[in-house]
Amino acid sequence: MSLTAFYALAAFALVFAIFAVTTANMVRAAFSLAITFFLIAGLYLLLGSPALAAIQFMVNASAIPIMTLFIIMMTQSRSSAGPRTWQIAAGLLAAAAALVFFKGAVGHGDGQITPVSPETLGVNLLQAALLLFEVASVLLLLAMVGAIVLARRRAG
Amino acid sequence: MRPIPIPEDRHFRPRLIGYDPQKSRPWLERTVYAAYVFVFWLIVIATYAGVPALFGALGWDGGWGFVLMRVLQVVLLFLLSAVIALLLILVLRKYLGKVQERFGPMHYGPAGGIQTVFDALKLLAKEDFVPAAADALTFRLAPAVTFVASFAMFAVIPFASGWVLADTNVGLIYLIAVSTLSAYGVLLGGVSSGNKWALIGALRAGAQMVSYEIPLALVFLTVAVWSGTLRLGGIVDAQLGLWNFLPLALPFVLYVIASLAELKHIPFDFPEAESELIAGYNVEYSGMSFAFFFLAEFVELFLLPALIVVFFFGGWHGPLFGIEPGSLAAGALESLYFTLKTAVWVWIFLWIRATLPRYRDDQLMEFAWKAMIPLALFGLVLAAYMRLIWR
Amino acid sequence: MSLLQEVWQAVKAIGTGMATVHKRVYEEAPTEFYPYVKPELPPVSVQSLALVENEDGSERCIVCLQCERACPAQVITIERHRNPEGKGFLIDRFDIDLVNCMYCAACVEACPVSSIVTIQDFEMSTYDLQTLKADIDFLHEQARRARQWYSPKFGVELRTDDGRIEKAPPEMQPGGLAEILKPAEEVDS
Repeated sequence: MSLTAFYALAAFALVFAIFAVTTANMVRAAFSLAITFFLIAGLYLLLGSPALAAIQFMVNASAIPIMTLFIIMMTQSRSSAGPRTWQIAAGLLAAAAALVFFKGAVGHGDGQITPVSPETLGVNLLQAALLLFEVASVLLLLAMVGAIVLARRRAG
Repeated sequence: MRPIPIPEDRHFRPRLIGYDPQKSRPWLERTVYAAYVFVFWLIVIATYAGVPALFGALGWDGGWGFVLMRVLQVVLLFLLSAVIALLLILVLRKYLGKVQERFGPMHYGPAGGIQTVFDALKLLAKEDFVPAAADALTFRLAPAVTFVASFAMFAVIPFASGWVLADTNVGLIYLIAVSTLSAYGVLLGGVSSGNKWALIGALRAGAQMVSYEIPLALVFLTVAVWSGTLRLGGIVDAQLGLWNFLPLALPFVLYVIASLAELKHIPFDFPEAESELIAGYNVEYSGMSFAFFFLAEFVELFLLPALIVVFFFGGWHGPLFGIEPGSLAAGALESLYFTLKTAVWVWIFLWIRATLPRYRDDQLMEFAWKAMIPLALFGLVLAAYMRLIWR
Repeated sequence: MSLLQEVWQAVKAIGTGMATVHKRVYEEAPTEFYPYVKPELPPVSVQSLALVENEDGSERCIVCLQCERACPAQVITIERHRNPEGKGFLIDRFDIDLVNCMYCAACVEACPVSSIVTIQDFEMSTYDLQTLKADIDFLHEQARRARQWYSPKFGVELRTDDGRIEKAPPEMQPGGLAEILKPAEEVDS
């Protein structure tokens, strides 16, 4: 049953991801991107990590409305031109490179799922991976401050 | 000369069902509300005790049988949300009528009790119109997104001990996610309508709900820190001795304010401000699409007070009169306590709605960012400190 | 400190408002249940016009054309011919256009025999405006349906259950007539 669920989720995730990059209507693209992320959250759930799934769900649920707001406020028309040939080629190349790079991850594991509790996830995040966590936080803070500075200079 | 006929009955008069104009009969009204609540209670019992018992007796509680059971439970919960919407719309109209020295609906059913059923039938019969300027696909999708985002909260609401669809240990995170998502449906609906008022309403909804999501999430975190768990059942169990609204008074007040904003309720009803934006994001909607926006709004009007009860007022806790905990009778009694506590909070929300005028939009955002979020952070730190000392 | 005071004032104001609202819930609404409960109107209220017949069914109207002359909106149309058998006139036609009538009751004031009167039937909404172009049959029928009517000359008159026409008792008459006609000793005591 979980195998059926996996294939269903993966298939729908692929369909919506392809729709997200091919559709010209940006509001629809954002919507199908959101659905893709939620389906990926479902995949995390199948992999035995409800905490990661919930966090994926939460982050995207918060981010997608704001992204849609940006699409509405910042773009002149709500549809974009279709991709050019070299863009498609570059995209395919990048996908192939990613596949090669993450080859180890694709074929990884022995098919056994070990559930991860939120406590384990939190402890790992704040002890084993504390440095990376903090670096990411500082990076986000920098991005925020930079955005404010840019916006003020533009306005003033 | 042609004699002019005198019409026998020159007036159009509505058909009357059980109606006595001389009396307002408050007891009849209360009986109607009690009947709705009773139906609600029966559906809750059927969902959380009846269906699992049935599937257990049939031996279908593994594999696809389990999936079927969950699907049946979700269908029953949809029925439950319909009952909630029918009751709450009726209560809202009657209550606002009383406050404004009117009677509210009086004509259909005892004391107007089935007026909302007729309203729903009317909406079902109406044309579901898509304006020419609208983006048809997104326009059709938006009410569904809004409703599903509200309805999905049912998954983690514990009606009694063990009476919950998914008693997951990440329930709070899930709640934060789902409650943000309901802003998204509103945003999509307003943007895809191709209407200025709808667009402004949607932008207001997006700004307001995303802003008030932060204090709401911080209050959730405060409750999690205080109770030491992200599981809603665990949070209720942690309040066995003392209900949370006493130690967490500040987060409790912030939660009430933030959930008013999350509900798009007066005094924070900017997305659908009737006097400025006609009806805001749902201007262009008609028929069942409009009904789904409405359903979502009133399901949320039940769910956010229900979360107040879960977080601050001991959930299902109440005197059990010696009934063995865990039995069907105990579950039924607990879910009744939960329902009644929630009903009181829904009433308080309606009371606030009847009293306060609308805020101003910039004041609203200022209040969120300059008052609510700092206070919520302060409450979080305070709760963490108190927990360190007391427990 | 002033911030705290402001917060306290806001909380107090909201509390006062909510208490007021809650008190209001238990007050009886002043709603009138109009189609089901008919309101009691003052006797001189001008709602519609009617043409009263005498008790024996003969015409009270003497066709003097005073009302036609008095009507500022000129909605009354009367045609008459001389009575071949006795004195006076007979009615050929007596129409009142109740659509354009402005219910000033100048015709009622002008009528020397109190034939044209004001009645209290205000339920004249209709799907067909032609039904409001009242002819003499309509006006008689209106008077027959009415339980009471008013003219300045005769005051309020009542139709009893057996169809007779009676002058209403003084307490039903308008303009404090009851007080004027009260015996002097009652006024003194």
